[in-house]
Amino acid sequence: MTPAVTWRAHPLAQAAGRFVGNPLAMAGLILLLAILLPVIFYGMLPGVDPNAIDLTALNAPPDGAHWLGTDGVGRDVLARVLEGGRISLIVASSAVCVSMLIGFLVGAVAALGGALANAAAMRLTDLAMTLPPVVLLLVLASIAGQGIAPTILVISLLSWPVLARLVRARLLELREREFVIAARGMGGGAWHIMTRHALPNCTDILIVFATLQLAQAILAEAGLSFLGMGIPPPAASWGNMLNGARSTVVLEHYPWQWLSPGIALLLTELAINFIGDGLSNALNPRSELG
Amino acid sequence: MAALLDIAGLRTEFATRAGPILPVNDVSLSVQVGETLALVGESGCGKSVTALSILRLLPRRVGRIAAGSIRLQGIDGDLLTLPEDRMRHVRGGAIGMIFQEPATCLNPLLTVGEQVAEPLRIHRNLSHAAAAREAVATLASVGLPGEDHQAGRYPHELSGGMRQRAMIAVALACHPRLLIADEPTTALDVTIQAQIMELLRALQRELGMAMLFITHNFALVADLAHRMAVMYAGRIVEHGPVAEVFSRPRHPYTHGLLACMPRLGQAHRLRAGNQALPTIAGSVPRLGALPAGCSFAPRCTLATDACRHDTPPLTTVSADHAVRCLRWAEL
Repeated sequence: MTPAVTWRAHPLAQAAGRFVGNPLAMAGLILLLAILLPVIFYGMLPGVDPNAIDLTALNAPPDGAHWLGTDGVGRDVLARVLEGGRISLIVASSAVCVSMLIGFLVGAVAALGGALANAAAMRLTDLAMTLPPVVLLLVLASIAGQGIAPTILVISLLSWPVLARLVRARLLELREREFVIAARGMGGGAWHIMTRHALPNCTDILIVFATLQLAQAILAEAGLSFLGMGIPPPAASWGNMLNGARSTVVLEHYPWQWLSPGIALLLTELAINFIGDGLSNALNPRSELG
Repeated sequence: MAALLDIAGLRTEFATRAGPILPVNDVSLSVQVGETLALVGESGCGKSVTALSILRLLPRRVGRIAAGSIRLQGIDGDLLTLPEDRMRHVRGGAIGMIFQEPATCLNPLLTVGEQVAEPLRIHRNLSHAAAAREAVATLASVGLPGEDHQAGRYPHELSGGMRQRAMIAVALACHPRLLIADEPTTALDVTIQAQIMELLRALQRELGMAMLFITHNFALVADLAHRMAVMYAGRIVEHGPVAEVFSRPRHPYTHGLLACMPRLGQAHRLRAGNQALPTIAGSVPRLGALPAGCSFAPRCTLATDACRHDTPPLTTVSADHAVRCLRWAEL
């Protein structure tokens, strides 16, 4: 037998190559890492305490002692931006995980589960999509209450329908592919088809959804907290720090107090969106042709 | 010999916009332990649908089995009414299946080793590691040796023949008693075809399994099968031992098919006599618009009014040879 082997890398390795070759995506990745590393590891630095009060410096502008100044009760803004970032990212990434789980399961059940399951799952999805997001967010938030867990729940309940539709569309096509029929022919059950064939073949959708949704979720968390429905003070989050800007005094005289979380939010969003676009290009099998 | 697989009166219905059609109509077949039965016919005559019906893998919402029974030795009850969870153990466990297109029947995102390990994990509850070891051994037995690390390759890294070997390994991983091979060599080069047939023959001898071999290639039938069944427009029109059917076809369709086969030296003779290769006039009727009576009657040179009136019954010619033709004795 002639070993007519075409030496090409694993599809994901090829995608990684395309991603690395995309300057915007790489810039996003570097920027995100530059934000993530201090946000994750700031606790190891001495003297950074988001809740420590320096009564000698209320509303102090940035200087050597407080690099980004202090807020109205003398807390260090830099420390609070880092802590707020930690909470925002925990909330956003957990919400993305939960919504990915819901979205994938609903999509998979719709595509693989037969006519009745399909109808039920898709009407549920339609319902979830037609509800106006801001109103739903506020109603859910007022029912679920404040705090990290309810915020995660609220954000994830809002974001799964898009994914469910994407997954369903992919699996409807996959279901009729011969290797899935072959897998059923060798005794694979629904669970087997879902984990071994559906999940790997949705990897690209899931990765792109996760990145773009992460950006969305950070914004949603900030929005909720800004409206006082998300993370309650004194815990820091980018959203409730921005809330401080509602006061015209703060807005006019102490710009470091709202510019800092605002810029952190903006840079994180930009970085994640660049990465998301880069990933969706890199994972598109047609991108090498065009 | 005992019948391993016994299909009786199988009727499969497809819902189409123009109403239901019957790609498989009143098909009865049996496969004995260790034997190879070839199912022969033109494209669209219902060969593959028969195979998919046996495993109950018909496209959902379109295909449905309307009548019949399928019994497999060692399984209580009818395969057609078996609960889905028991049916899953038949698929890949007692019956293995290989498909026509090795390129599309393997998941492009899993290594072939992983795909061979799947049925082992499903049917024999092997651990990940044990299944992986067993998969390497199975791949070696179909000619994809472990020292080349074939198990770690992705389907796109393999040639067509190697992929078909991998498919065979998936189907045979759990040592099924029956292998359904749906045109396993149609998509392959002639040289690779010969290798795959040789491999199937060797594996069959080694494992003692029976084979339902679906093909439209008479050369392969003569080469491999013990008995053959010829299908036309959803019905079996003739079945019997290969040697007998080849030497004495009793159905005009089988006769015509055999006459169409080019033979060595024939080209020269035909050209000398200024003749063309014989063909069967006309084409296969659409399943939605089958003629009354014998489906083959419109193309048949022997057809009479009686042929156009009623579907001929399956008539016994000799012990194991039956034909669905009124005028078989005249052939």
